[in-house]
Amino acid sequence: MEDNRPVHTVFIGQLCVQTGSCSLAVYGLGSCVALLLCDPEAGVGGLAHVLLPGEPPPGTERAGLPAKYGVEALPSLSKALVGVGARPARMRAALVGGARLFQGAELLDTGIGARNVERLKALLAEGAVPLALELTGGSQGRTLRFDLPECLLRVRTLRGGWESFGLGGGAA
Amino acid sequence: MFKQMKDEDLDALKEISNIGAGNAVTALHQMTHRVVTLEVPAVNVLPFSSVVETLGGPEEEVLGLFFRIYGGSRGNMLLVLPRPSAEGLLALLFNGSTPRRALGEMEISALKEVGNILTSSYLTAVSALLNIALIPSIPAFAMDMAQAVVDLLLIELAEVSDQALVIQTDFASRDHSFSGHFFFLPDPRSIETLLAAIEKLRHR
Repeated sequence: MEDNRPVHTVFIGQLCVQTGSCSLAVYGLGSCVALLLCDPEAGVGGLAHVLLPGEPPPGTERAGLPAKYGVEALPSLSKALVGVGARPARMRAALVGGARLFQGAELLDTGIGARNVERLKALLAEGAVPLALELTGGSQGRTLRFDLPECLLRVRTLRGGWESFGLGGGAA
Repeated sequence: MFKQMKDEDLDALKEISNIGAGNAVTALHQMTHRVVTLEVPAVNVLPFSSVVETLGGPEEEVLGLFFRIYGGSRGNMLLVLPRPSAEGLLALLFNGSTPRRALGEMEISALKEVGNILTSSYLTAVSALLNIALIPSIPAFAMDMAQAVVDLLLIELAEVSDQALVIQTDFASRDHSFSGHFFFLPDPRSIETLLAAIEKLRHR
């Protein structure tokens, strides 16, 4: 993990689009889902840290949390990516997170993580964005780094080490 | 939703959480025979990203015991202990025998039971003071990255608000064998009930 490129941490409910050499990072993803979108040819990518699968209630403001709802996060991320040179036809997506950490009390955790993942997959399918990689579910929290411009995704859990995945479309 | 809270309301919430946590650490003292000290509670209206800063960083391994609160006022309670503290506590409860690296059924069950006792003690004291029924659910258990552990709570709160009212009380044993944090997160829709009960108390 030792390199000198700048790291942009994407906090809960936030989204971030970057060009050039840098990393996007999320530390300790639980039931939230990181939606990654990139155009490997243009070398641009973005990440939305999504909390909720449902529809935003009418008349509420979310100026501070643009990625609170997946249904709003995907179009915002996609639009911002096009703004920095991505072509919609070349875009690829990845989903990370949506775990169920708390065990033994299903009443308390109604599977919000899984619902987040399902909703985002449906939204990607509607938008005809190919889902290149899915690292979701399970019972462990995840930390991720997404390196640009090469669109390399690295993910780790506390009990496992780092694993790398290329989203470039060629050999990972 | 929380913006209109007055300083005196925040102070009152601090006071009741001090009483609740005080009762809980008394129980903890009786279980472990250790002197347990309490920090002054902090009541904060936080944006979501800052909740985890006090836990030693987003990737710090922690034990989380999560309870729903039912009754006259709804909310959630999260008891968080750093992993070494959870092990220190187990060693005390099991008479000094060193805990295994991986927590087994027995260890998890013991930690859940401790969480039950602490949360019940906390809520009983607040309940008696405010004359509101506060009943904890059974605990849900997690041992993982701190940020991942608080995710579920933040998601729940996010459904009704963009901010979290977090009443945090830290405790530690004087011999450094364990420390931990209570997070009492009243449901934003139940805050009024709590404040009304506090107001009644003031005029008694």
